[in-house]
Amino acid sequence: MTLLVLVIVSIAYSAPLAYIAIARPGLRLLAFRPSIRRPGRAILVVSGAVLATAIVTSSSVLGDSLGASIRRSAVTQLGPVDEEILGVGIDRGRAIRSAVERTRSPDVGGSLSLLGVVTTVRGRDFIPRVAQAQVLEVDFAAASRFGGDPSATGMTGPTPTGDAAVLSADLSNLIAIRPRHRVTVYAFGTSRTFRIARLLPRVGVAGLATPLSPSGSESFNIFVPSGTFAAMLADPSRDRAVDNTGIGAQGLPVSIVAVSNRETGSGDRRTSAAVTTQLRAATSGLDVEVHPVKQQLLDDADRRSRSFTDLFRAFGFFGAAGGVVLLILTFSILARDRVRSMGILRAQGLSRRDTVAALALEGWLYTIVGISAGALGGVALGAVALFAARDVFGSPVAGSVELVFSARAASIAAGCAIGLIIALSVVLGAAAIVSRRNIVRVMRRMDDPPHRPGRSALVASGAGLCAAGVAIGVTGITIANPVASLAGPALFALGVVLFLYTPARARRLISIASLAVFVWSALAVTIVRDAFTHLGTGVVVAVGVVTTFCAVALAAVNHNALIRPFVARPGRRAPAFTLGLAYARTARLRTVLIMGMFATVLFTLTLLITIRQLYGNDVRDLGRRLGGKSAIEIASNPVRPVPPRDVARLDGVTHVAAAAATRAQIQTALAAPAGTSAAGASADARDVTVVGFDDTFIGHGSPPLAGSASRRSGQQRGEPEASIYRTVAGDPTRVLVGADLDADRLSGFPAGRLRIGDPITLRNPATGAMRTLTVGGLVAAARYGGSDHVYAARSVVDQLLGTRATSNLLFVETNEGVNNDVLAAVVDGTHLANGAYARSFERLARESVSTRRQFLDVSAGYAAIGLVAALAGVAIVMIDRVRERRRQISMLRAFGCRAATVSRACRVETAVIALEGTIIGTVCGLLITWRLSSNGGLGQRLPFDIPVILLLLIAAVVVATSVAAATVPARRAARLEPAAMLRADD
Amino acid sequence: MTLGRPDVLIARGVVKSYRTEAEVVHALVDVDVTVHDGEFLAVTGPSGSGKTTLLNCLSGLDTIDAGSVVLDGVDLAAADDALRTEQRASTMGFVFQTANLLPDFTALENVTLPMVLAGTAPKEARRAAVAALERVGVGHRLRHYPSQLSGGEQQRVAIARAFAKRPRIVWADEPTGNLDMHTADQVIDLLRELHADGTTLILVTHDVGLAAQADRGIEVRDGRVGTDPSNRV
Ligand SMILES: Nc1ncnc2c1ncn2[C@@H]1O[C@H](COP(=O)(O)OP(=O)(O)O)[C@@H](O)[C@H]1O
Ligand SMILES: [Mg+2]
Repeated sequence: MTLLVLVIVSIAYSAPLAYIAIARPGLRLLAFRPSIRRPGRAILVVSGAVLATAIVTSSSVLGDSLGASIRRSAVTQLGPVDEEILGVGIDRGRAIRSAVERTRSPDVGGSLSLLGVVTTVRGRDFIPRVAQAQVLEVDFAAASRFGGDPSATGMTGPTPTGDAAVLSADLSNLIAIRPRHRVTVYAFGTSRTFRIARLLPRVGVAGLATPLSPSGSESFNIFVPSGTFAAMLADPSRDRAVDNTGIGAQGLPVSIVAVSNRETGSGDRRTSAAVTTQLRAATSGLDVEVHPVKQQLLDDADRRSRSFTDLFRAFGFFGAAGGVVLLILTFSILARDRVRSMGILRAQGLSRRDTVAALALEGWLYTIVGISAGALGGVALGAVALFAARDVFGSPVAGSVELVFSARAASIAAGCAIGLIIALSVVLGAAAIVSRRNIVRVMRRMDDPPHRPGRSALVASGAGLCAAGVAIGVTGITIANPVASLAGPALFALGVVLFLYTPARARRLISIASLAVFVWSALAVTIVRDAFTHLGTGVVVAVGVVTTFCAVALAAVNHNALIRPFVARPGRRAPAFTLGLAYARTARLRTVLIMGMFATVLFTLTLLITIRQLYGNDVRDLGRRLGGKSAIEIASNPVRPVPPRDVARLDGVTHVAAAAATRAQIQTALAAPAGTSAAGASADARDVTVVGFDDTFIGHGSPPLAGSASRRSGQQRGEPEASIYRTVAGDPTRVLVGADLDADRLSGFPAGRLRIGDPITLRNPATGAMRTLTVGGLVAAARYGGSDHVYAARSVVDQLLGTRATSNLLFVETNEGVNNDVLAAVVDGTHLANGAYARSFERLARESVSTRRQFLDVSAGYAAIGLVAALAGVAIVMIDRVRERRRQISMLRAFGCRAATVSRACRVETAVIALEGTIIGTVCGLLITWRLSSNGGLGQRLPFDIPVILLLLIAAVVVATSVAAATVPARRAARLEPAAMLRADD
Repeated sequence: MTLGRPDVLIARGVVKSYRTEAEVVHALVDVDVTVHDGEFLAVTGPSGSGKTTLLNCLSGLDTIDAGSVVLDGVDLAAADDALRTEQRASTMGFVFQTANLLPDFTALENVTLPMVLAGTAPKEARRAAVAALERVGVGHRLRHYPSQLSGGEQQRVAIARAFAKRPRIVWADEPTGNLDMHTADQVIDLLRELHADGTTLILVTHDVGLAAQADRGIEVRDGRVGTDPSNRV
């Protein structure tokens, strides 16, 4: 739709110009000749268009690719599987399948019966490793026929027999074992060891994801010979001391019937919903659960790709904006270049319309060339960015997305159309101004007097802006909207400036107004804090634009005063320095724009780099927030959990607390849009680990509660943490959730949070057992090891499992000075048979922080693209300024100024502009990060810290590259001869 | 009305001032001028007296603050830009102190282009341009760019540009100001020669000797047109 509009507008722009190019040879000559005579100038303009289009296109290509990759991995992972029906018990498959047949639904394409259990497996190589995996029995021949396309099922080769097993590639990577190695499965109080026959990809049935499978979008599957489970259950040596295994499966395998829709793979929501309803009706008496797994996975993929693209867009925004500014700069320079020729021709009788037409035609020529090359460049740039991002997205925390390049023709066309429309609009606007210039003044090389709007117009528009500003601001603060609560006051200040404007007090007025808005935007982060808890595009862009704009305005109107001290004593400095600063003092609108480009990019970079630093500093603290007093978490097989006293005996261990854990699907008011929660297993269900605790856990494994949350809601104030935990331990209707429950998975940025008193629903995906609980408190941090954690009374876990839960989660306190990672490895090694999986909380914190930092690095790299635009912009503006000053420079040269001095002055001027922008951006970025970090806008209060060396390094690189970018204009300036002044006729 | 020739331009009560930050410069104060068809009128006066301003205002290059300028029956003061542009394109030629040629176009193109843009067929415009350039003596420099021409040659191209479309009026604002004496004489001879073909020529100069060659002269002093000391008609 928007694309259509864009294309229509582009055509509306292009068609008349194409006509003119054909029908008016004079205008054609006028428009095309300069590019032939002065290829340098033409290249300048074209490269501006190329860069701008490339930046705009690359960001949409990146968005396309992320979205497509995430979706693709969701589609291929399930392949032909659209719905899954789960029933606890070893022989439920037949009954479920016949129920499916009975629906006679034209939408159902087929069904496949599997048997599965989630349990601990151990790889036997040099270093044994354990993991939670999904153990499956299925007939491979039937599985590969399922859905009609064998390659989409991922199932190849015969069904394993004897002691052979087939592993998914993800599991093989996780526990570092290869074909011919051995792997042991622990379940039902016994174990079986297999030899790995081959590996299967994360595709279709081979990559089968079920509501039982370990969380994350990787497939940790192991396929064992048919009858394995039955044999294990019948094993006389089976340890019956414990009677549960896997997730709520009551010590039994789960029968899984996969259903394939006829329109498989398309992800058709309606078909899926219809089939799910039919299946629920058909199986209503069977005590089974129907899950629209494909749809859930796709919805989750969409949600994740939205959140990624939103963040990426936020950090790429200023790059794209820089591209647009670049376009405006180059094309307004082009128009200005033509002023004199047009004046001469106007004197000879060229009409205004033809003046505009000639300029537009020339601009069109450059635009067409520029955007075609720019679109290609943008695709390449997107591919490079994608390459850089592949590790981050490939990490398990991000869902192990394999990034595939995808550039939709529509996005490229949109990028081109946007470039064309902006460029031509600028050209047309500038041409209209050129055509209205006074011919006599143009021929006399005089500027037109500035257009001064009348007093009444200023007052009227000022009053209007004030009113609009107040309205927007008040609304913004009331509804906690970040953009409005910053834009409102900014508009108001602008209105005041216009209202009171006179040239005499312009400087003071603008200074005060921009300072006031600047201070407000820093304060707003704290005062209107609800608006700034979700660090997305809105916040980053609004805060970035407002603070840097104010700072740049402040610097621009006080530019003279700022620079004067450096210029004042000419004798003490090199002439080049004095001259360059003197030129920098004459900053004009274009210079200010460039400064703004530098400032916004540096703002984003500083924000990202400082947050990265804060996260890095936070690792130790995060470890403490996750584990409370305990240093190590030991998860183990509920069938044979690690006995706490075994661990307590180890050297350095001071205390061991035990809890029961199970996985469940959670639904919250935040995640589920109104109306979707009624239908049971809705598409918005997410996996969480439910930790069931009793009083022995409190003060040992219990993580600290969120301090800032208590301040806000007021309910936790004064009440000691222990008593809140005690209340929850004794009340099976309450639950503690992490304040980071809905935080962004990659960046860790908060995205709204539950409040005390909100309801949540927990559900056992295998049995459908469900509990609705009330949030009784917020835990500071509860996301680790790839899963969110919620804390509830032990009886809640019992109810979810339908049986008494064992203590399969231990929280270990250790002495100061103990190496917890080593201790965890010892526990792993000594309790393999228990499926022990021990990790220090510090390591868990390190892992989660490292993904966030990687993501921030990639984002910073992406944001740095904007730097390219700023550098190109400064080069273009400097080339133009040198050209403007040709006469002055040749005059200076005539008076004995050396060529080297002139060229150095040009570099100094460039460096001053870049440095000023850099300082402004860095200061704004630091200020905002400081405010965000101290009010919990980054998830929790983080002690502020400045990555001084890194920021200095970046500033140095920016200034150095901008000086390098000034090479071309500096050379040109040096080449000007004293005589050029006399000869120059244009 | 001299010798029964109709008036091609009648200006009455023309006022023009320039507003600068510091002050208001009254460049023309209540000026009356009449130009007869086909005459050679010299406008003289000291530097800064307002000669150029007068020329710009009478030709419609610039707008005026008060008064009327009727050219060929059209009141330029009341006309919009399109009409004034149209008038310039159809009936006027200009020669300035500097040649003001388009640097990216050859001598021939500099003469051809304004005609083509005004609607003359390219072939015809080219023929007229070549003829004009040959006439002003730069027929051997057709494909040269302005930067490859001497000052005198550039000015000749500018004259060819002004005359090629056979306008009724040619305005020349100190066309010899930047030239050496010998070249200046050649340029003036050229202008007189072209005027002899019937074009009305208005020549601005501060050179009294040059002015003496005109049919009639007016003198500008402090923005006022004084009595005509050298009216020999
Ligand atoms: N654009 C302008 N702005 C302000 N003053 C001007 C401008 N153009 C000309 N003047 C002033 O108007 C007066 C007449 O200028 P001009 O017509 O150029 O004189 P002349 O051509 O006789 O030398 C001078 O005092 C000049 O300084
Ligand atoms: Mg003059």
